[in-house]
Amino acid sequence: MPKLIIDDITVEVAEGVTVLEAAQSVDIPIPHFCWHPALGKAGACRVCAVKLLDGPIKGIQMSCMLPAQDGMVVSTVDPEAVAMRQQVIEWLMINHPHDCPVCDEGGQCQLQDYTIACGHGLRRYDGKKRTHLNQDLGPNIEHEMNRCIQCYRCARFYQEFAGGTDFGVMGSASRVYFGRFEDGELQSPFSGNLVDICPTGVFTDKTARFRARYWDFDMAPSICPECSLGCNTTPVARYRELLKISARHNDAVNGWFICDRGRFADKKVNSFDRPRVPLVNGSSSGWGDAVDAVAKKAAEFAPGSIAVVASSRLANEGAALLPDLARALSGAKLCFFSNEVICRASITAASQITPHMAASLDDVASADCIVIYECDLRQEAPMMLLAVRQAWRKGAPVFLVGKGAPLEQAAAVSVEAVDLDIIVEAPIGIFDRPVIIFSTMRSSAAEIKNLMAAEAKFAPLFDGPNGMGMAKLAAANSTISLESAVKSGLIKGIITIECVIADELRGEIPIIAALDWQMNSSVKNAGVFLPTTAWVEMNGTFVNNEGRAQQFKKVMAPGIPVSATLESGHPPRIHSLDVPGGEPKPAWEVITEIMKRL
Amino acid sequence: MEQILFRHNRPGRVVTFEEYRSEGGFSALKKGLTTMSPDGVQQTVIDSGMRGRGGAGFPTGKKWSFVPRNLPGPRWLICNCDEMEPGTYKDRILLESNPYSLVEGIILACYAIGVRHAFIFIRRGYEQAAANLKNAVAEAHGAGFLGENIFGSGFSCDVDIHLSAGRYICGEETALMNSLEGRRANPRAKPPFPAIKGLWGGPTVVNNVESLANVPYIIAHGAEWFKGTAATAEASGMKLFCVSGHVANPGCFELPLGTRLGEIIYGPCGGMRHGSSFKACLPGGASTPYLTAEQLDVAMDFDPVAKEGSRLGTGGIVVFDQHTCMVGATLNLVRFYARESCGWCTPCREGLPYVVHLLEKIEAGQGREEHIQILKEHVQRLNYAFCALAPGAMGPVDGLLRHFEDEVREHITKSRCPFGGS
Amino acid sequence: MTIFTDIKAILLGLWTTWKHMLRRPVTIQYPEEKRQPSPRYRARIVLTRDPDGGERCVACYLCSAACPVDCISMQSGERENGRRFAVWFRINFSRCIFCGLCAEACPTLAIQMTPDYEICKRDIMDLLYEKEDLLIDGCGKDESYNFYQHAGIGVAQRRGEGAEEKAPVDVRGLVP
Repeated sequence: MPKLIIDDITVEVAEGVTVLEAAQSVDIPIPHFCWHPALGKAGACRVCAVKLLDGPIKGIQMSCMLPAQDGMVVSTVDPEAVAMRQQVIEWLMINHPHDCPVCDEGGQCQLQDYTIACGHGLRRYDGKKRTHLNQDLGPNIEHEMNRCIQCYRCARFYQEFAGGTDFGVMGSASRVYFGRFEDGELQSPFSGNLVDICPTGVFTDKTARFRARYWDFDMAPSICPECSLGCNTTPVARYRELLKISARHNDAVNGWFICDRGRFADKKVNSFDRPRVPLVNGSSSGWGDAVDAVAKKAAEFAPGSIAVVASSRLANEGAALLPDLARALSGAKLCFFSNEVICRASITAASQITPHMAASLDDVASADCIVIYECDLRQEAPMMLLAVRQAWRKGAPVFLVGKGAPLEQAAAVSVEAVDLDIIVEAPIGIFDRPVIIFSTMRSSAAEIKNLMAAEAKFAPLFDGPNGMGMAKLAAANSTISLESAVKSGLIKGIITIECVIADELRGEIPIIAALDWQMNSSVKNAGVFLPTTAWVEMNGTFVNNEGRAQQFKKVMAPGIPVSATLESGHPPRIHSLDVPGGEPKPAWEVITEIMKRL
Repeated sequence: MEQILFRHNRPGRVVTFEEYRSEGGFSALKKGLTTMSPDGVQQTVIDSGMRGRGGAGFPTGKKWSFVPRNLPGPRWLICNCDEMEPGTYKDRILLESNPYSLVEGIILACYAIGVRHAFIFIRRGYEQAAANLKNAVAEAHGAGFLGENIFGSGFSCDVDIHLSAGRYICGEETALMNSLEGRRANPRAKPPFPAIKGLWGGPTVVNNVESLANVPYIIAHGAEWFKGTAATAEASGMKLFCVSGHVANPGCFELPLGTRLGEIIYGPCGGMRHGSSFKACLPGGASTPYLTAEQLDVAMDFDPVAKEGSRLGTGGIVVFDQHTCMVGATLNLVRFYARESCGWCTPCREGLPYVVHLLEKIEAGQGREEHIQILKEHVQRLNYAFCALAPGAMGPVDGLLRHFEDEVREHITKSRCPFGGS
Repeated sequence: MTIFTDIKAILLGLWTTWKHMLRRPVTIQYPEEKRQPSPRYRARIVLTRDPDGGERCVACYLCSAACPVDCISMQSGERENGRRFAVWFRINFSRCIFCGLCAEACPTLAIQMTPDYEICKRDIMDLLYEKEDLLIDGCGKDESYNFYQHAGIGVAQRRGEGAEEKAPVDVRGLVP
């Protein structure tokens, strides 16, 4: 455990930890561009210069490249180190364009921050700047190469971390160019992380281009609702409009990144046709009248003939109230899943798994053997694929079992995987930390029960962000799938809570009430519609696929985006306390209102 | 004068395999493989005191000894024939007259270190040398000096010739390894050192052509003999000095290490050419600081030249006469390095064009007094780059500011180049 | 005797009053007479144009960030040619304290203060100026600065053709 002194502060760190990380551990910030906690060190930018005053090594050194050693005496404020950092910034600014005012990174730009931090000021270089032409990298990412400071983070992330092959660095000397080797869209499912990782404005989020500055953003910690992995995100909103999603750091789950699906998903929250007002038989109504109508309508049904149907989109607070709602509705049938097979599979997975057996994404990345059983991670959980690649980089073999696990998913992250037909062919017994990945949407309950008898950790995939939560609640209460309920012939009416029911499944059975925030067929056909808030408009909890309950916080108030309130796009000149389109309430609150009237 | 490497030279053509053998060629190989152990060969080279001839001057035998004997997995020897240091052409001259010494030296080195497979990394522009080497390797193979169980000793070895697809930076040993592996030719961080973790992760030794070509003679005649061929007691062996510039008779001469600079210039080089008087020279290729007329009696050996504030480097001596504008000469040299930067680290990628810009301004008569201070800061700060290219590039600038600062100031105060340069 | 001191005091007071009564008053009879503020006087804010006629404002949000009373708001957008501009721009002059921090912050010399202080209104809603009310046709205090000539993003001139720029790098070229 090397012990060293940094700026008169003694710090002891584990073997192999660099001086930069040691300094960070005692809150001494050292400017850096090319070092990144997920990508490791590169030694390219030279801005992390410190002066070693005493010890086994002396002189100016790069703190991100230097492993901490016993007896080192480090100064980050020595004039020579300060002058070196200032010089490096001057070098980087030689070619940097004069475009901060029109650059989206301004206000959240590492180059801006470290330029101030390193004390560089007026330009004394009077030569010309090198310029570049940009590429069209697709609809999501904007490319502006003039701003590049050649930290190589993008190439290292794209090729080494994410296994992409179509993007990298070209050229040499001051002409180096970071771009796609051929024109076209970026192919990696993780290309959006270039936006977060680039310390300048070379890669910016095209979907939120020029919308607002960092200091005006409304942000709160949140969880991605696109799949069951529960990657941590920070949604960004402004003027009641969801602008973009950024990745949030969580070492146990998604690390530092998120996938493009979560980042660039359609922002249904803002959509024009989003239903925001309670409706009774198609006409707008007040909340009180609408909830009364639900209670009145429900009372007309015989006990046990109503099905309350939810999906894995529903946050856990609402889901936990549903058994009480079912009781209040005189023994309504509780359906947490529509499809019978998925229902059985999910409940089996949730019942068999214990905290010890559950594999987090970090466990997957540290596994010494990976088995992907009958699922395509590209569709179901892209971030799991990224974690599989990290395990493979460290030497873990990757086995793809069954026809439902295509080899192309491994190729998407440049992993050489072994194709197997049946699970017994995978030699997990010889490994210490094997992880088996399977999906409740592709495997039957029997298959899963069989699978989970193995000596390994398991990463089940569910059909929505709160999949594990729903499955655990389904197991703990007497629930059936909607498919079974309809088949039994006992159901005469359905109440849907944040889910879509296929019309073929429902048949002639009417939808008494629908609670949702998206426009879909269930909402269109419901007798009463009650608008709920989307995940960015409320506090709530999702239980992710390993059983980790994670909170998401309210980012913005529900309401019509300010830019949509007037035809001209201007915000109103006079504001009122009532937010237009601000009627939606969190699902759990609506359920409570209904229960109060039963 | 006794020659080591040039003893087999034939006027106007390359020496033949038979001629080389008849003059003792490959007898050292037989001696080493059949009568000496690998450790013995290694120790002889260590005792000879030979220092690397590629520019860094690191003791060759010591470099070999860094490869641990007991590390599992394949180990590699790379002969660095990526001779691109401006002013240096000795390896080409050697290989165009005698490629066999190198081949013999490589096999002996492989035996000493325990290498099964060696690479000769040769710059693509050296077509004749590469052809000679390919031929030499084939002939050696045919005679049983390469391949399986050479001389029945149980030692097997193969040599591959690899043409570089890259530029100057491929001469840096870790960038060379990256290039051989098919990656971008950026250097690697050290530690880990190539002797522990190099080509494809295995222990690797990278040696210069001239260093390896001397090995057969050290084995044939012994370490003491090799030491005795030098001009001073501290130096070891002879050196190929390739001289260019304003001398009467530029060329590549094999002379004892430790010969005085003046003896080289006014000896085999025939002195300065008509109308020229000695002003300054680069002692060892473009990355070394200038030596001036006051330093003409420095012994051309690693330590004495270092004491004078410069480096022996490759022994590529470039001589400038009194008509030469040192600012212009320095600008020419730094321009080369700025273009050859691999683009990995900021000081080299951005700092070298900055220095070029300042020297251009000074040469064009637009220099200012503050530029001198900025150049001095760059000489200091480019030491903290990722590899040795940037510090090397500042060698001539360092020399310029130490020996010719008044000439720089004259450019500034007169607002033009006093030598009539652009 | 005190009576003389008292009379002296009264006479001194009266004399001071008469002295001032016959003096020229400093009062300026506004609105018949108007005081000319110096050109740098901080009053009504305008958005200026560059010498080539384009709007200088790139809606960078720096003025709204600098404003100590949060009276500026805007939304930026992008034109076909890549030029960033303000889709809408609003200054609430009832909040504005005319400190000039916005003009100081503006990197393109777009937002400037003029000496026009005569902007009173009866209805407070009339003090909410939109972009149409703020944008003028002139260059304001600077006759020459066009930000896009220095930004290097290919709006005022093609990439690499600015006065401070080299021609764009040929990525696939091997010549240094």
